[in-house]
Amino acid sequence: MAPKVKVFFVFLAVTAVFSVFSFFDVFRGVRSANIYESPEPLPLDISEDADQDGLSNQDESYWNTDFENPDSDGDGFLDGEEVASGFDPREPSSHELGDRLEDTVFGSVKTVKAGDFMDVNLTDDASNLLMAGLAAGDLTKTSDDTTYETGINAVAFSTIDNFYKSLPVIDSGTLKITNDSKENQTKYLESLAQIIQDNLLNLSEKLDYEQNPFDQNKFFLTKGERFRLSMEGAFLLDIPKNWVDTHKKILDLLNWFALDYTAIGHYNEDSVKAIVAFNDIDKLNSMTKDILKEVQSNLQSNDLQPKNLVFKVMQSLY
Amino acid sequence: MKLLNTSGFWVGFIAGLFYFSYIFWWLWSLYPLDSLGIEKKSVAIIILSVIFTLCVFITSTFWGLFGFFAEKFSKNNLGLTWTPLLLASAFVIAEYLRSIFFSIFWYGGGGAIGPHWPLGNIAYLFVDINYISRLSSFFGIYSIDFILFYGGSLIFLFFSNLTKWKTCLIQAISLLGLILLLNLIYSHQDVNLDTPISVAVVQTNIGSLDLLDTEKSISIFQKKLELISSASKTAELIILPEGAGLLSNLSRFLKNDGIKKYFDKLSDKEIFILDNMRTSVDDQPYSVSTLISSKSGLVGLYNKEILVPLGEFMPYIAQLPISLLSSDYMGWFSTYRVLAKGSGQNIIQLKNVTLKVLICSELISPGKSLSGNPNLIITLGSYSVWNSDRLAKKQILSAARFRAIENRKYLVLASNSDQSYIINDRGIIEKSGTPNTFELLTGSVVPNHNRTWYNYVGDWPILLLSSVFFGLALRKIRNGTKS
Repeated sequence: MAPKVKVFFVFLAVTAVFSVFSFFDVFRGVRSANIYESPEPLPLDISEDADQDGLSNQDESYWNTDFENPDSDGDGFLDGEEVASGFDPREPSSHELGDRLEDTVFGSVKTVKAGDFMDVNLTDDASNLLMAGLAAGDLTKTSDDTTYETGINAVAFSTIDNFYKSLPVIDSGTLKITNDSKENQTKYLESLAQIIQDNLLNLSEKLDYEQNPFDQNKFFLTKGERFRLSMEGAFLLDIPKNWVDTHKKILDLLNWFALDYTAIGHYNEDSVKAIVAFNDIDKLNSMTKDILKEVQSNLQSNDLQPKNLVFKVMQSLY
Repeated sequence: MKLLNTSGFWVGFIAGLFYFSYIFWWLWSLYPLDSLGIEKKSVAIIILSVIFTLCVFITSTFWGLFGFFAEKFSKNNLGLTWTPLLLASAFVIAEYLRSIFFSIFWYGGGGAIGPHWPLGNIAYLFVDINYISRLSSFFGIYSIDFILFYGGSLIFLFFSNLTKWKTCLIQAISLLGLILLLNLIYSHQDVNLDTPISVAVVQTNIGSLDLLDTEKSISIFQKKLELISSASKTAELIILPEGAGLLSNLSRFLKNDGIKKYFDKLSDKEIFILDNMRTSVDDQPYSVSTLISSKSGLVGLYNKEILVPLGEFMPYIAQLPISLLSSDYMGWFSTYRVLAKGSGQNIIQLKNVTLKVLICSELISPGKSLSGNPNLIITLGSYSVWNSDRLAKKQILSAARFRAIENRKYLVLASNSDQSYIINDRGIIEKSGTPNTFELLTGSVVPNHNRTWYNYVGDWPILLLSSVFFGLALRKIRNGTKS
């Protein structure tokens, strides 16, 4: 087998390891990504990774990190990612991923900025980095183990990091903010209920079990488009001022869902981005639950009892 | 060919055609097969016609075989003492083989070969006659077949051979004596009853599991939550029907700790919830039943093992006519898979009570309720697919009552549409839900720790006895032919 091919395979494996939990988990079932009906197992096992940061609950205990926070020190790197690359997950790291690449095998790293998500091709970028590594000799058999491993890890980190860096930041300055009268809140909540019901929960939409999820482009592209339209609609709503913070989070969430599903739908053009996006859906589903809890908390603190069914369910649950 | 030239075969076969047309008529309630993704009504009619015809013809063939041997036994003059026994044995063997062949015929990826499908067994028609139905707690439904055919043959021989009425009468009295003796034993059998458990069945009214939009799904989920909340005030065990998906729906809204809190706050005391959902394990879709403790989480689970042909897996035989209809459908059907076959015992321990969990069609198979020495049987049904068809409901209810009698255990049948039931250990319906309504069916069930004879030995004694008689008869016929 040609060294280039070997390197590419190793790259794929490492990418998978750091694509949140494991590559295996992706193919073990789409349901584990909560795309369709899925139970979340109760946290019975210390070998589980509750926050899906690459560190098991047991390891989190060893490192004294928060097992429900994937980035305990808040430096932008997952706890598991930091441990694997030799950093302390409790101390915010000053190292940029680019620095790591500079330190190792690659002379220049393509810079990605917020909003580049649709333009950046992570598969091409990763291939280029690997080619550069091969040309420099750091990713060949002759290189010592440390250089080789560091190089591969750095490519994987850079790829995942570029995914998140390229996500656009929503300009919430244009939101239409109104006063927090009960009437305004009730009107807003009706629209919010629709968003939650049609997009964030969507209990009826299911993938075809039999097919590889990445072969079901249409399903994901349609879903992505629906999230995009929903986000555009959510921008036009009149937001009571006491709901602005929650609404911003919802806008972010809708946007990320839209981008992730679109990226998965374009698997044929950028498979690496699609895989990272696929894993990211799990995180977004988790964030959805946090936001639902926040919505319920807001309803209680504002003494609101909207009649929408979805809010009634939430009242029964929290 | 020799078989087809005998009038006995055709008499049995034609009788079977009438009987099994009645038994399988409920298949038409599946029309228009939209839950299978069939859009054209004409295609649905063709598919159902093929299925119905195959079911009726295959099962009738075994009655034809019985007719063939019955004629052979009669012609060879095996004696008035032996003939009724041999006829009864031949019928038992024909019925058992019919049940096995049914599973072979409908085999496919996900299917299971075995005597799982005794649909239409005539014993089921006698569920309301206690003196007869109780016999199944000794040797199962095939022993009822045996007795019915033995008795029927005696009556026939009595009228066709009046000169030997005394022999017939002695045998009839012996048979009645045996029935009375077994009933007497049944009445005096020890039952080791445990403390009653208060149960609540969350009966739903769902048309189809797969065709619900989000609004409808949320509405159903809300109703379930209300019923569960209400049930948790009194019930120790809350039972949800097949496909209820409580856990999976909860996980849409709540993180793990939230789910734990939800169960925890249901009640101050520990209660148990038996849920069922369709979920994926190792890339395979299963129908999984989970028992959850409100205080300590998951207690046990069972993946459905016996799947329904067409409904849950695509049998090989069904792919042939479909491929002739349209290549488009063939492409779809070749990858069709609703569920994967589960494994492991369908037993879940609830403290000191052993629950036998039967998911939907598993109720039909008598053998499926035997293993593990259960104290209580729970069936999680998904009977919406039959659209409340009267015949299908009658057969399922009859099977449920027989499973209770065979094992002498309380049986709770939770259904996602139509009606739920609480059936006592004598097969009597103690409580039933209002048909096609969301409601709680509450009651008490009493776990029984003692086992019936049938629970120990299953169908083997009656099959062995029948096989021995049948073998002897064939030998006698062969010897007679030689001489």
